[in-house]
Amino acid sequence: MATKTFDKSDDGVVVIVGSGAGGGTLAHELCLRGIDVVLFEAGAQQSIESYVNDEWASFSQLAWLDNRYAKGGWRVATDFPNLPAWICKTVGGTTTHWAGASLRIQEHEFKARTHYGDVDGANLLDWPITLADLEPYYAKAESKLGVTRTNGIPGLPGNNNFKVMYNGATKLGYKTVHTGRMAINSEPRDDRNACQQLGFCFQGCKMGAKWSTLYSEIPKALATGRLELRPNSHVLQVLHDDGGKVTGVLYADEKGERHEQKARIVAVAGNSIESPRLLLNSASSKFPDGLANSSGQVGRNYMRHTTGSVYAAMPEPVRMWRGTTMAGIIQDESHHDEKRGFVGGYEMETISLGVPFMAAFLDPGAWGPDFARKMETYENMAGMWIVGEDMPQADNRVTLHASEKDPFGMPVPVVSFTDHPNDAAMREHAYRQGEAVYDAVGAKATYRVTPYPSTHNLGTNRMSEKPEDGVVNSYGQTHDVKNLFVSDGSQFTTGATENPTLTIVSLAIRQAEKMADMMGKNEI
Amino acid sequence: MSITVHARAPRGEAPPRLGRRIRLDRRRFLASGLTAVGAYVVAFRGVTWIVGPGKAWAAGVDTFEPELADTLLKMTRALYPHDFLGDVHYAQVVQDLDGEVSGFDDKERLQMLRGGMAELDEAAGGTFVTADAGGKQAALGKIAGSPFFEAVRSKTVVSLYNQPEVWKKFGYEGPSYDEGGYLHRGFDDLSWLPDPPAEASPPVQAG
Ligand SMILES: Cc1cc2nc3c(=O)[nH]c(=O)nc-3n(C[C@H](O)[C@H](O)[C@H](O)COP(=O)(O)OP(=O)(O)OC[C@H]3O[C@@H](n4cnc5c(N)ncnc54)[C@H](O)[C@@H]3O)c2cc1C
Ligand code: SF4
Repeated sequence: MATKTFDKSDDGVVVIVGSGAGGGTLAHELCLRGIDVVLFEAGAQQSIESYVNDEWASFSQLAWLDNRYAKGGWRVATDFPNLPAWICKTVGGTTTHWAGASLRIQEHEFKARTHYGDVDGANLLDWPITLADLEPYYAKAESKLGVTRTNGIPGLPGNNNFKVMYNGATKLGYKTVHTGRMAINSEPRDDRNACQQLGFCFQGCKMGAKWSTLYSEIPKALATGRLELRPNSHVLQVLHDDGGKVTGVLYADEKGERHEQKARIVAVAGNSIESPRLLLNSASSKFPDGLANSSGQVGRNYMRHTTGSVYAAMPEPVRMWRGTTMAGIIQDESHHDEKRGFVGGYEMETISLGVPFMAAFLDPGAWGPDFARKMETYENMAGMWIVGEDMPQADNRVTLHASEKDPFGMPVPVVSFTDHPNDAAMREHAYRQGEAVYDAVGAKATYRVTPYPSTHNLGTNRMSEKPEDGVVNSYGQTHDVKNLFVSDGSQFTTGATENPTLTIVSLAIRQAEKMADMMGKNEI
Repeated sequence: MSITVHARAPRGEAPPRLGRRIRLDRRRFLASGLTAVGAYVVAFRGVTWIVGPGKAWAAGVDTFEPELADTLLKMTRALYPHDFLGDVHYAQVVQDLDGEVSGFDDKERLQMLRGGMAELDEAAGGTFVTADAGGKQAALGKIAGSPFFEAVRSKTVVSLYNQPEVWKKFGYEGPSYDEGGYLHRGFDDLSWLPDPPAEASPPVQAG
């Protein structure tokens, strides 16, 4: 079947920028509702066949490697000054890399300002939606992704890394410890295989067991005959008319040639660094501070979750690399309880890295005999990743570099981030608890590992009730421009404790429904 | 004297996966090659070779002169010292460093490395390559953070730990897709702790 193509002058289409969790889902959901879509993706198309079980080779294949700057007080700015985030530039976006942990945000987390109060230095706000609003969409998303422990889908079998976590956690008295809610098939479902425990979830799942828009949403959308996917097509600007409505996008194709694609609606889903970068780069005489930025909030409140890892040298071999990377979770610290010395909560999830990435991330920049001895415990290592709510701060933000441009002439993004004291207090608590988990089962040594470049990037076009507090409303529609939407994690008002993707997908389904409804009524 | 790596090893053993540009003597190499230390550097017909102990292998470098290759060989080991890794693995790092400066008209990076070598020798109070282990660590400590140090360190941490033969020494099994994953190859074989109950960790689903 020849796939559909649309004329560049076709102003009836919805243009979506970015084919990851948000954009890929939105495309499929709109096509199902009979709407024509052109989906732009800056990266190239890979496949289950072309993925490689090799950390550095896969990184070159999938990661976003165009220059970016990390600035501010975080250690990433020192260790990885040109790699603030570890995310993808490829069809499917970061759903190629992701581990699959799929959790709902908790009720109180949608009302962070109400529950946490006026935290000094934090730009907290309640979401303009509640858990009840999102519940029906969470249910749809869990079914779409095939999340284990929902919809009657069995949990995944735990691997060695999980066995260590489970035993340590239960010895410590933790109660909610299991193999997680994962968008990874424990049995064949939705034309996807069951997980064969390859252990290269971060490198693109060669079994197709893990949900990714690359081989789930996008092919289904193509099959409707309403989608045109344009890979290797980098959107440079969102264009608008004198009336302040967007009219399409300017993009550079594979050869670097520029084209304009007309559109009825533009939805931006480039992840939380590229989406604000694109809006800021779309500044005009009418919108001198960037598109949809009357609030001044575009690019601000950049969040990345409070993270860190604890690896432990156990007395016997663990071989943590065998099997699912995120093989289990401890949820007993995910509630809000200020007695611990911070607001919000965190999860502990198993993680593992191969030898190449372990060398790069165990203690970035370290060398010498002490580091070598740590590496030599590799076979006995167990590992967990900490993921907790971080505080939105106005000055943690994405801006455009004053002079440096990418090959298309677009200013490169600068990502500034500094921990809030609440983030630091939470991380300290989580490190201590993580160490205690492994000490409870006889760890010989534990290693606190500094946060990796950001895998979760959130908040830079946040949702708000009032236009002056944020960029988009509860449907991701920008407050300033009726036919401009944001469809990725940059909509998050606050970060919550949970891994974000299930929420990104749920918001995209809800947005598609609303967008179709508004189009039907000719409101946009 | 040497044959390429791709020769088949005896008794169905997989041949070692080394860089294409390392030449080795199969018989001598199988005796000791992957773990042996004591490599030395020679110039032969204008080409610099890092030669393995007992002439088991030889790694050619295109641009570095023998002194620089030798310094980097010792420096990369001192940066990430693993007794169970033979010099052949550090020689591969030196080849990778050499690859970064070879074939370019711009000699800036090569000059930086040469200058760094002088800096390192000075920090060692003579020549770095002849300093004892403690002296090498002390010298590295003095220049840590310099552009030269960081250039070598950041390349080494990637290039050394990215070698499949090095992975084996750490116990790491690497790519698993071609083997059918770890589902039937020990993903849950840990037996020194009790198994979690089925509600926490369900059995593998049939089918
Ligand atoms: C190693 C790793 C593990 C993770 N594990 C989990 C997990 O277990 N659970 C979880 O919930 N989340 C996880 N995440 C996070 C998850 O991947 C992201 O939250 C999610 O993919 C974000 O979706 P998105 O739509 O915002 O952006 P992405 O999925 O990153 O997609 C954005 C796409 O837009 C494209 N793009 C950007 N700018 C442009 C432009 N100007 N023109 C054209 N295209 C553009 C990009 O190339 C990219 O393909 C993980 C991430 C990483 C890196
Ligand atoms: S462990 Fe499972 S989900 Fe991860 S890459 Fe392998 S098959 Fe895919």
